[in-house]
Amino acid sequence: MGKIKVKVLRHDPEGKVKDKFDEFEVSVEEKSTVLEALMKIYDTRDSSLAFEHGCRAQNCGLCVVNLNGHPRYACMARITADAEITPLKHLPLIRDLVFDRRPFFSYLAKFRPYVVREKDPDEEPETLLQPPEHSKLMSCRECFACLSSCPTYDCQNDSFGGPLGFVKLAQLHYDRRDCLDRVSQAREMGILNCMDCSACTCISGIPLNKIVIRPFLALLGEGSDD
Amino acid sequence: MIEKSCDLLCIGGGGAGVTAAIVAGEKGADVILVSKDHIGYGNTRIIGGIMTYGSLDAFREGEDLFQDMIVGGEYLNNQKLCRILARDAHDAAILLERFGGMVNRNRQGKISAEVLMQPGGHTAPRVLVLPSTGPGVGQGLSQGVSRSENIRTLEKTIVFDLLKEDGKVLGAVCWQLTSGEIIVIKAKKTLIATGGGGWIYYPHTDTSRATTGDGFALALNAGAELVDMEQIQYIPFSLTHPSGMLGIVVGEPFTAGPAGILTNVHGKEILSGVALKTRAQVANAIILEVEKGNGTKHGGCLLDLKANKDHPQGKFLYQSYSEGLFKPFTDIIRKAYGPKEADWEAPWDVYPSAHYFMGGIVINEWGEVRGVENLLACGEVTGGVHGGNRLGSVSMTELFVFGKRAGERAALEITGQDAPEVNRSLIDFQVERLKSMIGKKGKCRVIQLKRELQKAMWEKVGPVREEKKLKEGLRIFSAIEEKLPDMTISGMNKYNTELFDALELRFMLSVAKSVALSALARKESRGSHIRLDYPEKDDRSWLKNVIIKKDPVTEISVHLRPVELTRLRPEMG
Ligand SMILES: Cc1cc2nc3c(=O)[nH]c(=O)nc-3n(C[C@H](O)[C@H](O)[C@H](O)COP(=O)(O)OP(=O)(O)OC[C@H]3O[C@@H](n4cnc5c(N)ncnc54)[C@H](O)[C@@H]3O)c2cc1C
Repeated sequence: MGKIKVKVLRHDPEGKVKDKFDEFEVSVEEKSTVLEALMKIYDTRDSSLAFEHGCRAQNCGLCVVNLNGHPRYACMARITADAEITPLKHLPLIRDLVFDRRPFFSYLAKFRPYVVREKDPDEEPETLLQPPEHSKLMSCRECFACLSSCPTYDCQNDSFGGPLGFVKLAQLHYDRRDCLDRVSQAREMGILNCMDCSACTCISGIPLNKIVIRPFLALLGEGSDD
Repeated sequence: MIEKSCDLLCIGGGGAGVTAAIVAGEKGADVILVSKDHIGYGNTRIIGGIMTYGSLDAFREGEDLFQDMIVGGEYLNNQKLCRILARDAHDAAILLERFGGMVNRNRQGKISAEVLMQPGGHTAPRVLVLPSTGPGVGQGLSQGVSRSENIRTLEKTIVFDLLKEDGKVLGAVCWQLTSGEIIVIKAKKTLIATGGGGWIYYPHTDTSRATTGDGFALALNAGAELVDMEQIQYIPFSLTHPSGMLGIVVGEPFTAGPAGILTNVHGKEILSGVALKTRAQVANAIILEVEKGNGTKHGGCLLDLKANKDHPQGKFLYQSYSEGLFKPFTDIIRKAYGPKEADWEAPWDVYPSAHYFMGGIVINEWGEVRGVENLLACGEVTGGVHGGNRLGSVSMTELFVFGKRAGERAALEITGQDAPEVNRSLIDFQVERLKSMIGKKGKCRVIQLKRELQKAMWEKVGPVREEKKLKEGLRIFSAIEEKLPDMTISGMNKYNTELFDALELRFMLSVAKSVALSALARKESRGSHIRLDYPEKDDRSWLKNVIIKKDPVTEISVHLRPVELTRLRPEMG
């Protein structure tokens, strides 16, 4: 394919310069990925460029970026000429494409984000049925892309946990071992804001609206559970 | 600089480190869990999703699993450790579920024969499927950590070096990527669970970028022994192209199914009965065939799975690839090769890639590191459990079984002990060493040295080895080492990845040398170690472990130690 130009949004936490696009020329092949391009820039041009990556096989979810405005795993998305690479939206940035995950998890901690049992099982391994929704939800990459696609989420605003917050509650709601009322927690986390919205998307294929948002709303007596 | 102290410092946020931290915390220890990526990540986060359970019959005490591990490991294993793992295998599933994860069951919610599978090298179905693969395990582990009141976590924090005085480890000096802060942690006990070193072969690997082998180097430097570092598992079925996906795993011997065939570029079958063979056997067949000049233009062999589609058992395997647990592999095949390959209509171009380090830190049955006081280790960073070949799915079991033992042991010894006194000058010395790297000016770029090292690892110390190449590799590593003082490292405060890379590069150099020296020492081909100049396995001379140690004069010394064949020994003709 030859050489193409890509733009990457730069964010400097030391605040010396305002966020701006840097343009880089990179040589790519037909199936080259966004991650390959970022790594090439890092390797050959600018080792201050900050981005995360882990497994190169869309398992870890760490390399998620916005590609021309849409969240994508950099390791699997093809790079194209004039691509614009920006960080996910609505999240606290650390540098360039890297955002801080900690504030979200500190917020989540208030909801006891783990299985709370009434009593320990009589024998282990116990007899246990796993609803298909649970196994699907536990494959969440925790990549934060859903928060970027949500029009309401704002990391500064504690009254709304956003789709990732609801996914974390739903994981426990569908877990037969857990005894806390995760539905009330969803209300507390602001799920009523989602009544007239279904904008959030999961890029690893979890049907958020169908198995998370609508069922919670239905259990709260708001809207139908289809 | 920030200073903290704790009872137990756990280094590594994968399955091994998290298990040890939770278990020690439950026993009352005050734990700090440090990870250079996030908690619940590492290679644990990206597993395909299989875990050895053992036989359903608890009274059999895993004797058959034990035997398979030793035979598969070609008798290099530490049989005492294998005995424990085989006996306690059920505990792994139980612990994972206590933390918050879940294993697959039948429709009645029970673990039964129908849900157990049999990866290559296992002689019976005894392996559980983890329904949400790596992310499911990772999130299960994070649940366990957030439930615990005794664990403080530090993420994106890399351990730079251990604090050590008079043969005792007293904690570690760390640097936090996100804040740029230097953090000194004083600890009564320190546990290394930093995983393997697969990334040292990038791009010819399917492992996480966090696996640069840091713990091998930290332990070696503290006086520990490393065993059989030449034994690196290459997973046989990985992608040969396109460049961005090179090395990504798409299967294991069992993927071949009852009817799949593995051929060279001319269509000639190179190994029969692939599905039941060990990973080393299958990988070695491919490696040697390509070495003979019979590889594809991408340097691989061809795995043709089509016949499985009409085979009574093969059909199920096809289904699990098209819509079941293994669908993620199919998604990757489709992206890399195309729809025909994804539908098993056209063969896959495959070549082994670096997947797992069988060798590692020498520990006893409680995860205590031989020769170093206050130091424990568990997980992939340790050696001995898998010998010359790891059977698929045993690693997950190992993390929990030995993570638990190490966590218990650490907690037991901590009670009643005073907080360690660490000499101020020792801390200052280490902190100054770290500081001197920040903002250094020189002529070499860190990342280029890192890439040179990775290239040399694959080409000279990779799947095909011989004396000449190994020595060339060692020369390249020395040349890179000489350039270390001349590196340019950014002085940027937050998220200074250049400094992070430089810290990893130092570890990677020790690991590279340890692997090359061990590979040079083992003058035979055994397990996953292929020497073109010594192509045969030699039981008469080589039932020996290769041990690496720090040496005041030569820096690293190599020793041979007869394997302790406590229960099983090979038949010798
Ligand atoms: C693609 C793939 C699929 C696999 N599938 C399976 C499977 O299905 N079943 C199975 O049994 N095994 C599987 N394995 C093997 C298994 O994943 C690993 O052996 C296992 O997860 C290792 O766990 P660990 O806790 O020892 O290390 P890891 O999970 O790798 O964790 C190491 C941790 O240490 C941290 N760390 C490293 N260095 C430092 C440092 N200097 N300072 C601070 N922190 C540090 C890392 O950030 C990381 O958090 C697979 C491996 C791969 C690569």
